[in-house]
Amino acid sequence: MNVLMLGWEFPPNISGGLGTACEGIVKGLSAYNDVHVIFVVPKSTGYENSSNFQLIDAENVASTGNVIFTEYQSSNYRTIEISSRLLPYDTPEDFSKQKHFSNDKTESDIETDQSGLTSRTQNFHFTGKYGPDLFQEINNYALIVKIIAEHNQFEIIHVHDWLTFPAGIAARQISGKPLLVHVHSTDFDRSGGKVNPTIYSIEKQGFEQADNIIAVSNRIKKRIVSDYGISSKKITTVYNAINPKTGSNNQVKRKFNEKVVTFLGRITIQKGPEYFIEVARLVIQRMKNVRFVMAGNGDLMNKMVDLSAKYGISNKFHFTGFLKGKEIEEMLAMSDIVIMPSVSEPFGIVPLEAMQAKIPVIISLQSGVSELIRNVIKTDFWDINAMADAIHAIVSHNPLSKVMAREGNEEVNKFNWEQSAGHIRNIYLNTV
Amino acid sequence: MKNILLCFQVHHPFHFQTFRFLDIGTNKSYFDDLRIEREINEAATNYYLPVNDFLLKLIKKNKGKLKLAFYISGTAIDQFLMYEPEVLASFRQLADTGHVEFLGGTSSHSLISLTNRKDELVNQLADFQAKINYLFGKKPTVFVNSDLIYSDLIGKDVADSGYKAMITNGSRKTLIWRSSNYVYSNCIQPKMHVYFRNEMISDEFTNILNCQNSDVKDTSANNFISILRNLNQDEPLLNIYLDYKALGGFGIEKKEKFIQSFISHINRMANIDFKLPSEIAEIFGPVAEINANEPICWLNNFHSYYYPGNELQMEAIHQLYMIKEMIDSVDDINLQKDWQYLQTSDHVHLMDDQHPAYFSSNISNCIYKSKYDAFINFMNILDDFRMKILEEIEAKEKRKVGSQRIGKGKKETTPHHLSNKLHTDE
Repeated sequence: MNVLMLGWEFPPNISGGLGTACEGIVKGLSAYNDVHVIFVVPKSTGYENSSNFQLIDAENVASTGNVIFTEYQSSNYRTIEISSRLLPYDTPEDFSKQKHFSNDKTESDIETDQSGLTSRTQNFHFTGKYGPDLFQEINNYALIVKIIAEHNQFEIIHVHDWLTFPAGIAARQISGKPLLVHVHSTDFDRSGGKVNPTIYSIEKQGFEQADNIIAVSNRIKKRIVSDYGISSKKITTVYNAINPKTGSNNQVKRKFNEKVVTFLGRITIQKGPEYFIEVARLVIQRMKNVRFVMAGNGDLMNKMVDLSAKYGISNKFHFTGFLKGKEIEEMLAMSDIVIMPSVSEPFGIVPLEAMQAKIPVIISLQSGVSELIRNVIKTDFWDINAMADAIHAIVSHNPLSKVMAREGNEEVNKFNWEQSAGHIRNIYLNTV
Repeated sequence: MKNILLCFQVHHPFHFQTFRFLDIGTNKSYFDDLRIEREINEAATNYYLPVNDFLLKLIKKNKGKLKLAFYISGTAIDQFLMYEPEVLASFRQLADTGHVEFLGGTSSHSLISLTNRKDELVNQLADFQAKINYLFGKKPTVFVNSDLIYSDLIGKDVADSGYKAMITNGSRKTLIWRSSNYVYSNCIQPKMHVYFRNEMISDEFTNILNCQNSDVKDTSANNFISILRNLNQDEPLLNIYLDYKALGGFGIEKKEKFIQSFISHINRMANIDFKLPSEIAEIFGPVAEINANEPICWLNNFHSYYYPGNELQMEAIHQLYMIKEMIDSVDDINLQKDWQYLQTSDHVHLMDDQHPAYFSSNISNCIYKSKYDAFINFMNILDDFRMKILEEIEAKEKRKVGSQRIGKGKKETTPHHLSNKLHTDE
């Protein structure tokens, strides 16, 4: 079976969990010989590492005008890269701020459409203008995907999150093949409740047009049912996974004698950073041997720096800025506790990474991953007393931290992407 | 001749409420008094009062042919005294028939027997014996450990406290190929007799009582009677030990009907009788010694060989009984009560992932989401308790010093004021 898969990022060019999840799914599916994946990803020129996208050996690169088709052949999946400036976690407002991306490429994209490749754009219309650049880009992406859809054989279209929905719908219309929508987050989760109406309508349209929907947790499934009015019958939950750790555990020099409690993630309203600071304040007031690290970047970062200063805990509260790859591993190796107080987390891969690193984990009940794992401490995101309590207990009672680290590690080692991909494959078979 | 022991266990722990480390030193209560009171009220209305009434009539009707035994835990007794004294009165009425026996136990359904603190074990057993004697007019001679925990060493220690026999679970781990329907003796102290709960029959009995489908219930009740008929008559004992709660609650009329028919069937059969546990001890000698190196136990729908438990449980028990030395020098009644209620085994059971509470659909009944929460709450409470004890000991010391100074004629604050001041300073 050939799958046309549309995504927005692919490692190492990632800004969040979406790219990692896509990689996991694609690699997990490669374990099944009867599934071929054609992965289409917009080439994100804004990234420093874009030239390093040699994760997969490039066999042939066909470039036509401004559209670059990069076809990779590795075991049984291909990746096709399209030049694009999209970052999956940008809001339209952020996007339009990036002035160096002008509109000029839009035209040439469409030119490409007109030249060489067979085009049927006239049969296909997007309803109205989306306005800001981001939505323009989504349109362009959809047009290009349409061309790809015409030139490739596939039996199912599998798309990841709202940015790819219009393209998925276009591909469905032109090919008549079923559309599978994979939901890693909704705008309710990303925006902390302040939903962008345009994004909402794109999401809703995607859900409605989809023949089947995969949600990364029951939490997301419920959301799609209750807030988008979609029948739960066509939604299946498939949890994300994590691949077993390869490579050596590098020894990192600990910089502090105190215990280190780490928040690892984007500093945005979705991740609940202010609750982390409140917890830190409670603990620092009563315990001398604990330090807190907020590792990541985001629009609330400055606010959080201000808040930690206001509470007078700056001497024990540290910010690292954006971390990637190896830095994340080093940060985990330095940590004694990892905490994820997310207000609304569709899944949440960080706890699984921490469990792999044998670190006790505290997570909010408002996360999808809390449905899946047992050997962590779960609290409500707003319950700063409970989180402070858990930190105190893990720091104070050695047997507790030992058992959590060991049993958490055993638990997470049972997960792998092949299992999740197996569920996805079954959904393919049921959909086609 | 076959003898049936019909025993019911009554137990209610003092449930904890959420106790954060931020609560340490704030004088917050450890126990969820509202929940405790609500549960005991409901249990009295739906279980104890109607069922005891039914049992009393049944015993009178059968004129000595029906005999029953009860184990009522120390914490359950205290909760009845506090909230539902009527329940104790109804048990006393049962005791007065002469056909009902009350079994011995630890003072608060505690895990003391799992530690090596024999002195405390002896104290707890003696306290409980006195309590049962006071309430029901007879000193118990057969012992039931919390959750039926038994091992060779525990059996010996209990014998040293003056008991002749004890009941434990017929766990396959200990019996292996042996039948539970004989009297055995402890392998260290042969004078101690051991009766094993017949797991299969007790569980089946409970299942029939709790069965909601009346057709299934009738067929399984008939099957059950035929099982009883075909029991090996050479085996002298049949120990049916179950949770009292199986008798009451939803569908109570049908349950009563089943009990009634069960008893009349037994009474119609030749060579089969109800006996009290203490009577068995006088009639039968043990057939063999039994070895139980590691403790066995009985926890409904949970474990049959559970102890010494996982790392968290062992640590919790270890930390709990570290306080033992300190508590001995404290006279404060409230602290002593807390000390008793902290030891109840239920708190430790919840530090296990497999505990039924974590699979129950009725989530509101459990304040914990995992064994880790249970451990953390327990340790916070222990921290607070330890602090209170230390304060009390310090205050006591100062009172002593103070009174000596007064004796020497120096005018100082009175001990009473001093201790009050200490508390407010903290």
